[in-house]
Amino acid sequence: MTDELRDERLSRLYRESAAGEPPPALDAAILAAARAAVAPAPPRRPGWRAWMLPTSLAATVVLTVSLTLVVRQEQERVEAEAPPPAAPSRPAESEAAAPAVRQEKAATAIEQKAAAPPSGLKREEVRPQSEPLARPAATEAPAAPAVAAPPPAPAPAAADAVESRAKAAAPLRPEAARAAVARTPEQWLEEIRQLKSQGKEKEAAESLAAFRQAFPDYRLPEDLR
Amino acid sequence: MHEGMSDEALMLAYRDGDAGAFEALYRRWRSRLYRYLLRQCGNAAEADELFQDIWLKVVNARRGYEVAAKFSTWLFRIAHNRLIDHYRARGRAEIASFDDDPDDADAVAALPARPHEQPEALLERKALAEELVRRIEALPAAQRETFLLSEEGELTLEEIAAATGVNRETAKSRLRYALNKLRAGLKELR
Repeated sequence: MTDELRDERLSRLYRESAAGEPPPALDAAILAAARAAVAPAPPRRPGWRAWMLPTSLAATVVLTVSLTLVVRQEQERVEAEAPPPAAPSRPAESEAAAPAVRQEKAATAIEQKAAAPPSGLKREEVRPQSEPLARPAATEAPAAPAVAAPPPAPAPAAADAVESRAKAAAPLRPEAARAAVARTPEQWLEEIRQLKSQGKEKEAAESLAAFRQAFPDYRLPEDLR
Repeated sequence: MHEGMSDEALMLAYRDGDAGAFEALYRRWRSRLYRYLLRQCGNAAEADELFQDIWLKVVNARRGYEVAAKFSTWLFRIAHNRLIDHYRARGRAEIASFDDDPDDADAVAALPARPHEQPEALLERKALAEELVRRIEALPAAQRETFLLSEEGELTLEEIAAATGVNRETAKSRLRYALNKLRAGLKELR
């Protein structure tokens, strides 16, 4: 205290007059701020949890890419090793293994067929109920070789096997056999109808037999049964 | 729990995370600090603002708090610095009295008795106390502050000097002037 200058009378009088208190709201605000300043902070998330989302995303991407590569390699291997005689020898699949020259011929044949559709019944009218199942495999066939890698060693052997089978099956002309490889079942059946209408019953029968072999599950229209 | 603890021990406990220690400390000093500000500002709104700022400075300074002086000296030094900033920001004339400490430029000597409060009426103690406050508020800011630090802060001359950044003789001179003027003013009323 300031004892040497202390005036007790004055001090007593001052204390009697000493009015003035902070408002309660101010007290509350200050005390709340003081408490908040020393309140224990909420537990921080461990550092590894912050990396959880990006890490899981990266792992997903790596897994997806790896699986895609494995599946693609497996497809190529199966295509390369597929033994043609045992295979159902669907035209599309056989063509997928054929050399590029044959692909071009097949594509040309399809284009020619598309450019000059046969007269008579419309394609929609003769399309069997099962067509939606058979059609995609046939129509996608020309595109398949473009995706596939260059054929490995066994591939020419498989293509040759298809060709020799076609020769052994009948006097079906080689170009017709190649065309059959790339055409749709409907187109093939239309060709058979044309052969029959031209009186080429034998060729029509052979072609029909080849058709049955190529599409054993295909339900033939009544006029060709 | 905090009753017997010194101010400094309470502040150290608060620094270490004891919010209850701060509350005890606050209860001890809230009224005195508020009155110090109220007399210095003469305005409750301004006193409220300064009061809150000062206590928040105490809160924020807790980490670096060490017992280098009495807590009250430390608290009123923060208050003094905040008050000087406040005067500067508002361009108040009070700031001049801290620099020059003009003895005869104060308003106490020229403060007339209120016409309706003749000496006879002011004999009543309550009225006398109110007049004392009026005369305190009319003191030059530096003298008024020294008187308030002595009364509200219960600081010694050395502590007042430390809180206001002057030497002991300056603090003593200011307090002497303040007391003389207040005594003289009250004597006029008797």
